[in-house]
Amino acid sequence: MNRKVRYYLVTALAGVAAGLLFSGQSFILAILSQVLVFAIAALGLNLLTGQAGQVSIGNAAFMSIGAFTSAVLVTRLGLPIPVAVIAAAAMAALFGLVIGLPALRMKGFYLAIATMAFGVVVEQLIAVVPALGSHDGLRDLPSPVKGELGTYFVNLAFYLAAIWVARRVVESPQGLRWRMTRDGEVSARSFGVNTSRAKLSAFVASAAFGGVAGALYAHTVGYIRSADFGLSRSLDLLAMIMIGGSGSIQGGLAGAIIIIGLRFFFSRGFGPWLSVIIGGLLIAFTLFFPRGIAYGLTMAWHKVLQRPLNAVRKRLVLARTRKTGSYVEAGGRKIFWRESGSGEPLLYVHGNTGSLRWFEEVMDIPGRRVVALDMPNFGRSDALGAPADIGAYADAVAAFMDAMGLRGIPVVGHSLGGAVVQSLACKRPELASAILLVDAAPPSGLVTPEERYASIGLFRTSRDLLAASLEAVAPSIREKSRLAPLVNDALLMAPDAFEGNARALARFDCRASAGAYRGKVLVLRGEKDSIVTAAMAKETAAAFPGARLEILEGVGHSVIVEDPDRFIGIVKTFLSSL
Amino acid sequence: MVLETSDFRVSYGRIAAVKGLSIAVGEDEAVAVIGANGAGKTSLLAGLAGLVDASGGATYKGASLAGLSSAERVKRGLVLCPEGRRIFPELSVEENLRLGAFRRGRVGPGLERVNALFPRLAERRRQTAGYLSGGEQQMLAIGRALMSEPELLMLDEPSLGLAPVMVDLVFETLAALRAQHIPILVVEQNAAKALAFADRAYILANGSLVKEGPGRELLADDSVRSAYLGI
Amino acid sequence: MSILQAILLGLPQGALYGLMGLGLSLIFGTTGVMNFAQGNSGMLGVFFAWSVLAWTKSLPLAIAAGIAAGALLGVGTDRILMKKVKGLTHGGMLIVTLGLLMAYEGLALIVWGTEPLLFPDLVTLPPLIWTLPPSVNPDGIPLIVAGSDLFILALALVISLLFAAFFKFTKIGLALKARSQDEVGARVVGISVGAVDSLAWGSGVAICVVLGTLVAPKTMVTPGMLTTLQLYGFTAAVFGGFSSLFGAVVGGVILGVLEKLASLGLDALFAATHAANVNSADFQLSVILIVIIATLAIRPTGIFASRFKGKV
Repeated sequence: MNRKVRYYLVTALAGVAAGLLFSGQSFILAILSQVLVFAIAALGLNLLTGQAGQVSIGNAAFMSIGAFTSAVLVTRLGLPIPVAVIAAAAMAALFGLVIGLPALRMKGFYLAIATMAFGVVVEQLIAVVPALGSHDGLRDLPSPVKGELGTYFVNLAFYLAAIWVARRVVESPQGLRWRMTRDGEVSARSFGVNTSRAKLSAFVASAAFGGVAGALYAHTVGYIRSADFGLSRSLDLLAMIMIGGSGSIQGGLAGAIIIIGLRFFFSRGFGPWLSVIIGGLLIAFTLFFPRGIAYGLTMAWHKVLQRPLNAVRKRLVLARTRKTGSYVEAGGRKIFWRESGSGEPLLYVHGNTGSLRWFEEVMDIPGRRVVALDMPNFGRSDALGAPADIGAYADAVAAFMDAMGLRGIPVVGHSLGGAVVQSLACKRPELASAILLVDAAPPSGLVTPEERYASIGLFRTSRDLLAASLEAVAPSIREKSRLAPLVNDALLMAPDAFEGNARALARFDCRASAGAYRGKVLVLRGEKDSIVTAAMAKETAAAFPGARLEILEGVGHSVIVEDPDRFIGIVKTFLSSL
Repeated sequence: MVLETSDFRVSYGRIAAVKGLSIAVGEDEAVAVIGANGAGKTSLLAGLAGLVDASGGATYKGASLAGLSSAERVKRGLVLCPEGRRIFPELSVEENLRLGAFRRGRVGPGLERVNALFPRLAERRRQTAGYLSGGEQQMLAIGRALMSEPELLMLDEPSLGLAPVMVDLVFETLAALRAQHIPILVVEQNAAKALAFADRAYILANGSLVKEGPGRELLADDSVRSAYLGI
Repeated sequence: MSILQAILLGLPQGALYGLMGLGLSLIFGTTGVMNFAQGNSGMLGVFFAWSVLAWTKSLPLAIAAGIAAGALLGVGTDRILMKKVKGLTHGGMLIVTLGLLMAYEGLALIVWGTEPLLFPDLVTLPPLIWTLPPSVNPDGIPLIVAGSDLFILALALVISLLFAAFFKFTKIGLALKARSQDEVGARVVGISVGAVDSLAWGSGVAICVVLGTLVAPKTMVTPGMLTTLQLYGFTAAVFGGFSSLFGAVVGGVILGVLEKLASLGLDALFAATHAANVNSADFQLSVILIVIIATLAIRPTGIFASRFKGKV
């Protein structure tokens, strides 16, 4: 299923489940409703502060405006609630402009003060208008649907809509403009971003969300006072996105659960402790977990929570695929392999996180006995038993070829496998009569920047991230479902090989001996390959005497899965030229 | 040796700016450190001055610098004239100079010396420092550093952003200070001037030492000329 | 009420605003942190003074203890929290002080409960009464300045002069000025920036405690006693551009007078238009705040701000 759809579905189901779980307890449902309402307001603040970098401690004012607008429209003019909510959003958005315009010239602390002033002004001015109930506020506001459960589901629906809209905006060019403005106004402007318009749109969007939240609050709680939306409310919202995590769309929800939840939990007599705790949490999170809970949860998902699923998957995959090949003893290890067809042999060597299944669709070469193996550390073969090293992999492949009686045959290597094949050709030229390198690492090695190693560590435990990275490595593949077995096989790789292979590729250097190889060499590179650059491919071709370089349009790093037929054609042509 | 470092390291989080440097400055020596942008030159001086955390060995006047605050280092005569001058813009020229003697040095004799060295500054005694030109501000920064009676004067890119005429003036000043036997450690992007001025020089790249030797030799070295002098 | 009386009422009020602004500017100008917990820090000091008063019955001792406690709180905040907060974004630093704001409020409630506490006047002075000649004052209404207001004005003047002298004539004052203008420059001349920052924090909060003891007789000692004043303090500091202490005090005084005059004007307006039930007091703060927003929009760094600071 599409990951995005799954995201909304999970959220929706969780929300519905929570509602049904507490369907009899209106008190809890009321709290849940409030959580959702404030999550929407926090989301609005997140757009302004988290995305566009404009610190605001007056956003409760937008809630206030939305709440009173909707209340008045419904009770005095008899408008239906959905219309009133839209009007509330519009009214609040207008006020977003009112503060957004002067705010354009302010930054940082000054902006915070101005937004705080704005919040206080709105609070004060609303409290003096008799039509808005003065200090006592407005009471007996109707709810959208009879009953707490119904109201809860209405709020849930609005929340889902809110995150859908927010996500779309954040991932759109507008979101990019906001983030560029946040990260460096001058740079953003030099890239052509109209930072003033970006900031204004952020204020307006933030206000609109706040207005909707306010309107929903009014009809959920039924009673609003201007003082309900004062400075402490604005601070609550800030705390929500800070603790929940401003980098995530759902961060506001996490924060709202904690803040609103804590508030109710402490409402019976422990009031002052609440302030101390929330204040302390704010400080602690800012200092130690600046990315908030949502980030923590995301990391937990990638580092820990997928592990049991992965373990189960691994077991299933191993069980299901055991009979699809055979084992041979080579170099003191059991190597898994399979073959197809008869005739002169041809060997396929896979790449990083790979296995022989990468070649599944190219095993049929007429007139050829095609052999593919899982290198040690990969797939169903034994572990390498030593730190990952290209030379060691090459030795293992050589041992496999010796054990299988394969000698003087063409060998194909993909990506890391290409490096292994180059090493093999230099160490044991009698084994490889010709080599075909598909998007291979160049003879001088492939260095991964130090900063990337942290995320490489995450690949070990997160199938999600592995899947995403494999998609990137086969960008033009037509049926994404083809990648699923490859992702599962990626899980089978030895844990220490994730980082180990990257380091091995950095160390790899066969430039000295490449010149001595006498066999035919064909170097392939997909033009959309984001790992192996054109320069690297040229370097590879130049290192081997008489090597030919072929650039393939329309494919990326893995033509063997992106366009198997094309690959077969290339192999056939290559073989016939030998 | 008034200053000696061994395996000196400066890192900002995971990024190593200075990766194990061993340099030395003699009692009566002017040493230059040159290299491209990002080579770690400023980090080196910042680490020596105590402005950023550093690890590894650093001895000044025979005693280790480890654990000494930047104020303490100034007190012992290890003075930095920082990159970008960093003068106090709202104070007068004279107030700036007086502040140079905040931790160490006597104001009276100090001012006399600085005024003798920089007559132009003496003229502008009461002017607000923020209104001085770039070159004048650089003179002020050097003057302020001199007010601390340095026993090792470190300068971070004193010629940066200055017109050629002012650059000459800066190096003339450095030569004058050299003549007064004040040990100098100067970091510069202007390799030609720095190598011509210094007795010895170190060349940094990517936080590590690439070459060292007498200034004149390096100036004549072809590889140095092509890499840093654009010749 | 006459305009003159409004001004006479506005001056001491403005002096309070100015002192609050001075404290805020001191900390922000020196260390670059806007202390949103300033009011509540001072509040805790006042509560502490109240406790010492209840225990020792000695007002001078109580005041001294409160100020000392405030200074300690300020220094502690800097040493323990602010040093860690250095590398954060503005938003981050803001949030940390907001967290303190919340925590201090809760702390006060926990330790001293919810009942407002009584605090005595620092000094009891007779009011100044002054009747202008009938040519300008036909109704014969005297101008009155309350004794406490006189005291506030005097104290504010003394404190401002002390600070001015401190910055002009003492070495530490010079160090503070230097550090606020360029941190690296301050370090390379051997100024202990850490110590200077702590000094700024300690003094800033100490001033706020003084402020608290001045208003406590009227507002009573409650957790929220200085929240509104802090808001006014920010507006005063905005006038001064946060880096000019003089500007903050002057700004505060101007603000106080403006506020009373605006109140006068609004009352007249409401009377003329027969708008019932509307009290100008409700609008006072809003008017001021709108002025602030406008000021920030026109001159984002304040009216008396320095030309050289790239601050914020």
